[in-house]
Amino acid sequence: MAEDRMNLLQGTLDLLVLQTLYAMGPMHGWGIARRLEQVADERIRINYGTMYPALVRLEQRGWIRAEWGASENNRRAKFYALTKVGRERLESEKRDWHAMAAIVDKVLE
Amino acid sequence: MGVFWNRLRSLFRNGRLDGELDEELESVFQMEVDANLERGLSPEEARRQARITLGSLESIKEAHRDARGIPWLDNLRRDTIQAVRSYRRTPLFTGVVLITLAVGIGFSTFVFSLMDGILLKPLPYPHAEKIVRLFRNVESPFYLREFASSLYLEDRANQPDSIEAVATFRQSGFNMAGSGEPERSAIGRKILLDNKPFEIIGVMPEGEDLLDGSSYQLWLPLDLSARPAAQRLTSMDPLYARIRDGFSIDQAQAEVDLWAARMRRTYPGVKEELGLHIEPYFDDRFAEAETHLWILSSAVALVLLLTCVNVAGLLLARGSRRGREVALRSALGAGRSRLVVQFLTESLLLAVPAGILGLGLSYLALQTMRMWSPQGLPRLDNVTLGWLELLFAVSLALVSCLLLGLGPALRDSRARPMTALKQSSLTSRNGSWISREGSWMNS
Repeated sequence: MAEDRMNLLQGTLDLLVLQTLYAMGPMHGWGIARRLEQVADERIRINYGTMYPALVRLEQRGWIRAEWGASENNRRAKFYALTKVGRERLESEKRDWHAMAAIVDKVLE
Repeated sequence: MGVFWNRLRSLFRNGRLDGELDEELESVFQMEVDANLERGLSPEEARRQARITLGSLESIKEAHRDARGIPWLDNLRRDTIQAVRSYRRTPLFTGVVLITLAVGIGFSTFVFSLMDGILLKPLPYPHAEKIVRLFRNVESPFYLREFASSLYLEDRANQPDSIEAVATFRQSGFNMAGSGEPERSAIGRKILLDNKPFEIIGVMPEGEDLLDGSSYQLWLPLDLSARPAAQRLTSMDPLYARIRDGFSIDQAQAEVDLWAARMRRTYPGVKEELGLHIEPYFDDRFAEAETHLWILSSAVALVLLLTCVNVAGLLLARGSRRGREVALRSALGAGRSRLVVQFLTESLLLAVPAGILGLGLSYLALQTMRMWSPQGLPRLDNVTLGWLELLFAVSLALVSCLLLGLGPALRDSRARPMTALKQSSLTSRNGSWISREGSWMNS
């Protein structure tokens, strides 16, 4: 399982976090990490040393906001939610990503 | 802009934000443990695995701090606080270094301001180096060589090619009516001197009393034709001249000799008093000042050398104590550049106050010098602590900061942590600092 894990492409984590919050609604940090690893069939590993800085960046830009709440196991946890600006941003980031991916594909073919 | 503001703000809420992050990471850790327990792991194994998954809490916090704040500013802040703390722990060391540096910087700035004001700032006369004084060739001690026949002023027709102009001036007093404060707006104003009207056509720069060291309030054109004819042959004046571009002093002297010989033939009555000797005027005026200033500069070099030796000695003594701290910091992952910046911040914290103190000292020295106003230092009014002096003091402070900080920084940051720590645990009497700091490493 560990052998075929991939490193996350630089700069893609922000996009993945935004999309996760868009799809799942407000989530805490652990939940976001688990969700991403699950969607990726455990082929990526989310490093908290990378994810927490990303969350702080997104929060400072006003794309997400954080609030303390209670988790499923009744643990106190910080929940992150997409803001309106964040949702708009996600759309344009997605477009950019698809455009970029198309270019890379084209070059590689 | 908003992002920058958020980051700046977060710097001042570090304690609270760190606490919040601690709490958040704690909850993530618990969730991980819960998940591991659900998979059927033993509580102990669940916690162990969770710790592995999360990785180093310290590095997550560090990354978080860097992302939310402005890392270099945050580092600067922390370095500053740490440096201030360490300086306060050793007030004697700090005081001695500060005063030594301040005296060094102050004295050098003072002498530099003298050099700049007296020797370096251009004289207010165009081609000052071409201005000469015409001395009378007299052997007899009963005659003053400073005064030469005024006939040279009138004899324009025979004036040599190498001499552009001959000039003189006399002192006298007037009764003045009308306001005449020396300011630009005075130009064009009419004043009455001994009841004769004069128009002000210019204002002399302040503090330039170069011609003979006295200060004059008014300059008037000298009307030679107003002199009674009987005085023409005996009248004497201090004579100044400007040598024309392209002629050397020797060429001018040769021509002036011819001029004097012709003058002797025209006015046989004046005889030997018409021989003239040319001497560069400002060279003469500044030769003495230059000697004084070079002596002062050598003293400055000496003082600076002593300053450096003193401070270096103090730092060396302190350095052996610092070795441990540096070793520990680099063992904990502080990069070399990080350590160098820390050292520079520390020495900047000494150099900047020392520079300010030094400027104050040089100001005091200058005031004292003005009150004393020694002979042989012309243009003292022209000596000021201006931008150039400020720049000089700042550069001295910065250079001393570099020398103070970089030396130990390069030496200590190169040291291998293990060696340094081993050595210091052998030599140090109290290891309490390390063990105290070390306690959280286990957490």
